[in-house]
Amino acid sequence: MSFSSVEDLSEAGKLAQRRSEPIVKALPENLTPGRRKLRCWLGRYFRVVITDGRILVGMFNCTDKDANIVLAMCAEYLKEDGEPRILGNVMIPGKHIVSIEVDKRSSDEDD
Amino acid sequence: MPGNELQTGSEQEGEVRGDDGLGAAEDQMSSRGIALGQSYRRCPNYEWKSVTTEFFEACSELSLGELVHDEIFGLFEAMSAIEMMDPKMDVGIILNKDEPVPHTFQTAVSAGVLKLENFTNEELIGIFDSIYSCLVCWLEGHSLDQILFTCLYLHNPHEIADKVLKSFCLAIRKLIPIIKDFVIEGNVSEEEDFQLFGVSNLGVIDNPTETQVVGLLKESEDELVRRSRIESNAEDVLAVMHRVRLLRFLFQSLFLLWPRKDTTFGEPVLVEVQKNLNAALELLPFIKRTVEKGTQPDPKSDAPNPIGYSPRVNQRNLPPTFPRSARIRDRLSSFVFLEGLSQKLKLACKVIHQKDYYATLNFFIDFSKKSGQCLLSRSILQIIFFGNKKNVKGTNPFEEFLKESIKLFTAPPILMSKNNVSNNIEAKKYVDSFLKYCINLHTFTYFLQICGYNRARQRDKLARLIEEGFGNLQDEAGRVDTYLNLICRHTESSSQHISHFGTWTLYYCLRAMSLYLLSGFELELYSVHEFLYIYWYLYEFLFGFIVTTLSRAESLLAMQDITSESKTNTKQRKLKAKKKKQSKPFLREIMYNHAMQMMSGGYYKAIAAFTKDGRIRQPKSKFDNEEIRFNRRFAPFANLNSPPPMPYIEFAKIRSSQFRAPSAELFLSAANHFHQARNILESVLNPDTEMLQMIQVAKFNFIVTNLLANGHKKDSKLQPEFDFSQHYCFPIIKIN
Repeated sequence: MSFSSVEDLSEAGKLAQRRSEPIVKALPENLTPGRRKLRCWLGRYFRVVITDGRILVGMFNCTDKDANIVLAMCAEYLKEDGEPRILGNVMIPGKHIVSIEVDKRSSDEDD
Repeated sequence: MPGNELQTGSEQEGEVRGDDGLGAAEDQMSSRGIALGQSYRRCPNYEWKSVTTEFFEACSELSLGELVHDEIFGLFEAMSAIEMMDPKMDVGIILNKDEPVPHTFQTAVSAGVLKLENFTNEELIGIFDSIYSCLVCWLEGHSLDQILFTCLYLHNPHEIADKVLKSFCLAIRKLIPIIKDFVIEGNVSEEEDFQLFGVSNLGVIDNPTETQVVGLLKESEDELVRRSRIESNAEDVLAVMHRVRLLRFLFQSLFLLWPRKDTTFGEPVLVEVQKNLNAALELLPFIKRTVEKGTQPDPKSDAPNPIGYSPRVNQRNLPPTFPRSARIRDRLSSFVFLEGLSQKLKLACKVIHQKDYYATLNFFIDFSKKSGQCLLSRSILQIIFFGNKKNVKGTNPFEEFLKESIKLFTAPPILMSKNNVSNNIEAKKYVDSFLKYCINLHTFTYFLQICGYNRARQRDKLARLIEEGFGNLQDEAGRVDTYLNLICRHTESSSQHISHFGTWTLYYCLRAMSLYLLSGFELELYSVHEFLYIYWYLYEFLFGFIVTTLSRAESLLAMQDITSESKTNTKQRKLKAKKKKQSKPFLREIMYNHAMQMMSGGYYKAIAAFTKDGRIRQPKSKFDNEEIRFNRRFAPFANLNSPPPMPYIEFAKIRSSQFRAPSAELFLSAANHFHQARNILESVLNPDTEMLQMIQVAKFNFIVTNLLANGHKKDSKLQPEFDFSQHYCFPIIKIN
């Protein structure tokens, strides 16, 4: 199953229903290492620090060439362990990203 | 919307959900946020691993436009995402990293930055004036949380030690729910027009009651008056007192009109309201003069006043997508706004003196022109009028009101006392059911309500009113007229029933149509090449129809006069004859509409000539279909029986025959039209401002079209300019 263009997005709705079943990520063989890595990260928790110092924690959903990131269920923290503000879906432009961390705990495959 | 996003997010991803009740309703958002936050903190088992460079490297492998995305990621997720760091979308953006956490009432007090007593006069004036500005901003459609509730004093008014400030803040807090009720009950706004609900938990204060608040304000005033006698700076103390007193007068007048209280608005209440408003209006000039006496906002800060505000106190509670900041009105213009508001409210009180529907509708239309921007006054007008016509024990005053209105408009014999027809039970039943039908369709009430909406919203609603309301009503009126006509012929009666009800409904339908078409000019919807058929329709049909309908109504009234006269004795007849000389009730409106018809005729001919000379830019034929455009413009009229719909072919035929004449001739005829319009308007007694404006426009256009008829700038291909600055639908033609 490969998604590489915007036109394919309409398919996503149908696939969303299948999401409730446990799925084993079967990656196509012929991917470049970078694409492979990105695919592995999908659905895992990211902690992104942006240029104004805010920390965003959410589920990694989508990215593109310019490293624009979409996080679902995102919470915003002004400081470490502060009160979160719930934002929902956010898009972080790549140019505003300071650092990215991934939650190792939710990985069960490589790394 | 933010709630939805959250919900979809949480349904699809069960990982962090836990038992925090994530599916709760939107209004519990903030509490949910905390719960979720706790769960974040409760599971410290995130094991973060930095992947920054790795990630950027991986992304650079992607080609342009290629997305790597989760299976559940679709168009909805993409479109609903908030763009971080975007100044418009991102409310939480931190422009200044060193900015401290915004103060709340409690933190500000304990940090010693919010004083609760020993205010100077200067400080009080500053606080009061800034609160007035914020109040006005809210009335203009901004959010409570972002504006008014950034004033910390309003958060906990009970804890303020200074009595004057305390009473002022309590009164403002009590005023807020009253204003909200007006907007809700007035029902002339839509969700986006007014921010009724905020997220901060500043609800209604139960204690003190409204009457007690007035008492508290009064006490503060008295104390200030006492102080002014002792202290040296009496003028400053009085300036403070004026502001408290203004609030009391505004509060009292609004409280009297409050729809929660179960009163019908009769004369005594409204007189009391007007007294309060007059008192407020007398105070405002003094207050405007002393604005300088108060502390002024720091130009470097967002706060409306140096003390008492914490501009970002509610920021993190606002929905994720929200305008980041709102500009607050300056103080002087806020008082000008309050002045306007008081005048409009005074005017609104006069609505109950309108004797029939005809006068009432004109009142509403006029009011809408004057206060299109002010939602509060428009809502209150609705509340006063409909409150005055409230159902009282089974009778429907509005039905009586319509009946009276028809009597005054066309005087159908059936409704007039003392004649054979009105005793016919069958006929009476017909008329009653027609009136019931009018009430049940809500067409007439809805027409008044539409006039209460802001100018832009009126147009859509008028279209529906014409299509659905008047379409049906006209059919029904026609049926009643035919039936009554038959009865009149059968009974031996001198009076005839012609189209009394039909004329009445047709007139209001035409009024709605003209409002609809003219609003297109006001809202700048028409492009110049469309003017041709709009003015054509106005000239050839609409205004002409209005004139004939009104003339018919006049002749029906005259007919009724004659029949009743023949029955009365000579003495009364003399009296009647005296009256009759003045009885041309619609003369003014007929002249006005006739003038509008002539004006439209002038534009139609002039634009036809310009079009013929190729001086009006036309859309590229590849992208245009004039017929569709034409049909869209007149779409709401398509289903009416009367006036009959005008098909596009008709217009095209007339236009091509019109174009046969040389353009000089068309310009000359346009000049004639403008000249006639001016003549008619100049013969109106006591012309209002709108008529005077029209005279000005007609004068200008007469000269311009005359010049054009004589070949001035004949070879120019430049499009003339249409300048709507004088009148909203009749522009001055300017030749470039």
